[in-house]
Amino acid sequence: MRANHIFGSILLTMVIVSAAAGNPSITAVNVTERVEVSKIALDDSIWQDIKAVDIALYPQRTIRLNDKKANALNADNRGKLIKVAAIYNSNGIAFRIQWKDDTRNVQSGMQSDLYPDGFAVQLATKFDEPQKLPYIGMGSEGRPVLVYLHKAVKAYNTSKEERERAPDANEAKRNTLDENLTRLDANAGKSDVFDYKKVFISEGFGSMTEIRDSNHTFETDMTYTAGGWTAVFGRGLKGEYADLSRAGAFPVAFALWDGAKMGRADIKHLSSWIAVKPKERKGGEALVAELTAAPKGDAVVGEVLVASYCSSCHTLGDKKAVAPYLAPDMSMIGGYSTVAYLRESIVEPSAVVVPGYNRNAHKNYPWYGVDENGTRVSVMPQIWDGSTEGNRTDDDIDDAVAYLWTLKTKIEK
Amino acid sequence: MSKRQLAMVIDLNKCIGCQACTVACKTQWTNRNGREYMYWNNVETYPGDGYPKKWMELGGGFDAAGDLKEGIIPAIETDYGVPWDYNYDSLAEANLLGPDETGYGKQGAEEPGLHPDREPTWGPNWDEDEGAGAFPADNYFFYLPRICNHCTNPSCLSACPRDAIFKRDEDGVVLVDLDRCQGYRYCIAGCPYKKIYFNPKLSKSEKCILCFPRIEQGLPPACAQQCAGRTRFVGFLDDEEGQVHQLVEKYKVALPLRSDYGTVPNVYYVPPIEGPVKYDANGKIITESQRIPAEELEMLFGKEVHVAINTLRAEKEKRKRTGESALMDLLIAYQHADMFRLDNAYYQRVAKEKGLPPIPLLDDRYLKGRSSETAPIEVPERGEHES
Repeated sequence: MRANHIFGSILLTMVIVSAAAGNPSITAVNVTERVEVSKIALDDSIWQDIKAVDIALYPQRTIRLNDKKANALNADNRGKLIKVAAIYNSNGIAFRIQWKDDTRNVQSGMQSDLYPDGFAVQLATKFDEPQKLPYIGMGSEGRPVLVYLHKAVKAYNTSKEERERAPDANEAKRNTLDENLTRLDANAGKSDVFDYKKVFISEGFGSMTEIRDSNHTFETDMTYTAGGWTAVFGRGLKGEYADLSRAGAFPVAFALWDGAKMGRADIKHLSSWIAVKPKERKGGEALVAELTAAPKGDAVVGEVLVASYCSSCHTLGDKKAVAPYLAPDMSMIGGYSTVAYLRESIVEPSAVVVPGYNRNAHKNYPWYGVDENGTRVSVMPQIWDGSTEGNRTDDDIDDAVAYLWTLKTKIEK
Repeated sequence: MSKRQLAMVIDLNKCIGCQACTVACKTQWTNRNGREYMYWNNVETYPGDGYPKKWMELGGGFDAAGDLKEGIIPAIETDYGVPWDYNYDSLAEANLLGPDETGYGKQGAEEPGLHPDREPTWGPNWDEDEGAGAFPADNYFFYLPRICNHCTNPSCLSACPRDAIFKRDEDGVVLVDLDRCQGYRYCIAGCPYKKIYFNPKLSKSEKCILCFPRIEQGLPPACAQQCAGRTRFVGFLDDEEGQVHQLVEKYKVALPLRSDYGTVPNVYYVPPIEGPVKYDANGKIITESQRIPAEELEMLFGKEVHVAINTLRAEKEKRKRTGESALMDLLIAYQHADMFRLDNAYYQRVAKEKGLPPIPLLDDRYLKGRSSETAPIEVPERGEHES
């Protein structure tokens, strides 16, 4: 740290110390081969002995979508802590996730304004370069992710047999279908039927595509008990899309949706990439180090730099951008970004261009262009690469990253 | 913007509110599988709350700067209304009989008469024919049939974070790719006309498809073909000989609904010019009076509505005086078949370019809708491709 900043840094240490802490890693415990890990139940007794880690998830805020009620409900969201435990053996890996939620929201019936609670587990398809992981928000071009998504959606009809018996079962025809529907309702009341379990491959916003390959199997489940959800995700170690069978460590990310706040799509809580270390496996130190390290720069110096260079286009918490649609909102960027991603985005703005929504919805503010090869080119000037005189130095970039890392909200109690 | 744009003109002076279009659409597309509450085509009474309830107040569309505006997603129960049914069976069996036989009056016995099977809360024509103003001196209403506007600048498309909505290049029809749709419903907030609906059974959004499978095969959209009042013209905007082009571009008497929403809609309306005159307190006719307030028509159809109304009145007068008016002839629509100018040959060519199989021609009566720029190609005989 440079001498002229030491004084300021000491004064602020108390304030920024928590923000500057790195993320924890998850240790996956190696369990006996007799356990069928990829299909483990969320209430299996094996979980009792596995220590869970607290992972912080923050409200994603990149682009403001157009649902008035949802925007109002989510204006002041805080971060959430989830508890994650992980196990593995040669036939699979599983995560158990628990989080607080005061209300159980299930999308069901003839309703257009109900939204489900849900969760997702995200894996990177490639992670051999820990500093070039996919963009946390559903991957980026050339850096695909797998998203395993489970939402509490109750099937409109409960079973295949029911559907066949009442193909157009409609509450409005209750008199003619009375018997079927009464039984249907009774069954639905007895057991929660969750049928929205899907896996997607994605290279960024708007590109998520469902994998319908029956070879790519996984299991998810979620259940509500007073005050919160418990969920489980399990899959085999090998797989065409992401091979976890040999890695000494690999990255994982988690997302949550709260139906009570009309959560869906971007209205979610999102973690950063978290390192998973399968216990007793060798290697992976570089990835664990990269994902658990706090940024090394000086956030106080960084704040001044970011304010002068970035804040006219990017909203930074209370500091609103002049043109609100010109560039992604960075108010929560520190909550779900890796240090390497923040640095890369400054040095090489077009390395990851968040695509999608903005170009049609806000035509005057395209935040990227498309070159003759169809590649998205960010409109953000590439001025911080240290290559020419007058450019910011490496230290400046570290300081800016350290400040951006602090941009996150508090964790809710 | 698409290469060509298929459009519809609806003459509000001729709409009698019979709902034949609504029923044609419903039986074709929306009477099953989670679509029961949807009306891709509805006819509402203006003034009125419409369908869904107060849709004009629910936001969406673009602001003057071209930015997407926030909107509200209506609820099925309160804003669209869940379809209800009646106890016809029990009515036939018991309810018409006297109290002794039915046990009417005894505890638990059903009350005689027709009962809905759920408490009706709202429906597609809840306030039909109510209108506004004091009867009989100056009350008024007119019918406003509505389908998806297949906008040139669709805000549903702009609102979708999944790129699941697209506008067909060949004819500008706006469609939902149900494979990509994840049921987020931003499109519903984004559409200022609230003409895209959430299917709770599929958990996806669905909307009017302008009957594109019919159009491609030479059949007009079900709503238009079934229209008893001959109110609906269907054709390509660039088909210069077509009525749609002439009414919109040449005579400028067909205007888009709420163009202030900024989506550039492609359903055009001939504004209502004919209504009863007002009466004064003594029941005497107030000559030259208009019951439908000009400012309301301006709100719906823009400032251009005054010019359009003047043109329509002048042409009507001319027709009365001289017996001739090309515009009036066009609006009268002597031959129903002439109201539709489709182009199967064009779709054949598009299909060929895309390497898709040929499109069978089901009806050859409506195939005049070529643009001057698209060279004519041979129209296949009816049934040629059916094997």
